[in-house]
Amino acid sequence: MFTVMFAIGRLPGWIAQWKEMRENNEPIGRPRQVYIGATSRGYVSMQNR
Amino acid sequence: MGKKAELHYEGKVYEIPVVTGSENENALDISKLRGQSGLITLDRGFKNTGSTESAITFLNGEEGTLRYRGYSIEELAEKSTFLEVSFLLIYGELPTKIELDKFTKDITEHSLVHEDVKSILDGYPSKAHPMGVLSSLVSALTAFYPKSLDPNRSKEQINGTIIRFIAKLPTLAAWSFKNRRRQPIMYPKNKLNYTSNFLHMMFGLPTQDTEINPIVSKALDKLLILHADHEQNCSASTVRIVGSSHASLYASVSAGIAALWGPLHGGANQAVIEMLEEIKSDGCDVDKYVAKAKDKSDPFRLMGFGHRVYKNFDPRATIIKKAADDVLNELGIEDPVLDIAMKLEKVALEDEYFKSRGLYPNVDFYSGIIYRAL
Repeated sequence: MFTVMFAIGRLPGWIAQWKEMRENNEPIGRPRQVYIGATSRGYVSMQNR
Repeated sequence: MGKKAELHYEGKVYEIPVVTGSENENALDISKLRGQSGLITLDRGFKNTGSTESAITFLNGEEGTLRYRGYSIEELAEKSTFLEVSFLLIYGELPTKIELDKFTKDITEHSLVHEDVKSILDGYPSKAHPMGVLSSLVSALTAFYPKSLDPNRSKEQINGTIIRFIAKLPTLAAWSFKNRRRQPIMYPKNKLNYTSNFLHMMFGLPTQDTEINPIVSKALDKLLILHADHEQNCSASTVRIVGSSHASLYASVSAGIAALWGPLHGGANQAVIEMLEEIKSDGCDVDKYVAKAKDKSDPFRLMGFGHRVYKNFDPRATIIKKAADDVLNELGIEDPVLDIAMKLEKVALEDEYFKSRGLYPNVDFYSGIIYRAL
């Protein structure tokens, strides 16, 4: 419940980080990934599942 | 010539430039790696990845160093105030007296929030967690200040948003807390300083004049300084990445508050209190829980000891321990939960098992105690 006090404390840090990011014209954050899911496969109709 | 590293992969050699920061920390700059080699890096939780070059906060976990804009946290906590530290973090330098007076005056004059915010607050059930309420009220500020959505505003206009934000967050935070308690909200009192005003809105009642204890207010001000920034942590990274889409400052911080809500981040001090209450309800047997903590097969974990980044000690914990002692002495509270905390603290500081593992009482442990005492 008292985490709201933590939020008040952290606000100047968040503002400073946001301001620095914008003033440096940083690009949109967009990490990549290593995909480990299923490879290409065909749609299976309902009666065949 | 800058330093370089070489990556040997499938018979080819790729040169990777090394970037060195002002504290001589080195980083491989891989921004061209994918284009040159087709490789990307994989780093779950970004533990080895710098997301940016930043001039705000320096942290060395091994040595227990924390500095804002070059100034040590110890010196700032002792000599500065939360609003001065806020100015330092945001604008990069300590303010002159004229600058700090103007900053303080501007913030004080903007402490009221629009009356319609109350109708949003009234829509919440009292069970609503204050962090969820706060996150959405901050997001709602965009509706009251729609110009803040324009990503191409002047520095002066952005500064207006920053001032408003620092001014209004304590009001919104206290109201979120009052909603939980089903108590009437308190309006800000601008004759009080920033921290005392927050305490007034949190704990005051319209039926009485609540005196704000200056020692408690000073301790809370120190606590706010200690929490003011911690470089690229979960919530700050969230704020930056949301803002990188040119979302507004309010929207970005609203997401940061949501990140801080999580029990692994800002919820840790609440977890400390819950642990202490569990020990109390089980007969206040601290030794039993110390044994449980040492027993690897026991799922019980001591909350509020050690830190993922600070391996040996947390510089903030040393400062906050003193603040916690001041508050407890001043308020003279008798509370079995706090007695348990003191016993646990003694064990952790003296017992070889805890000492050798770097399980010292951390900033969440002491801030949990202060919050409990308030």
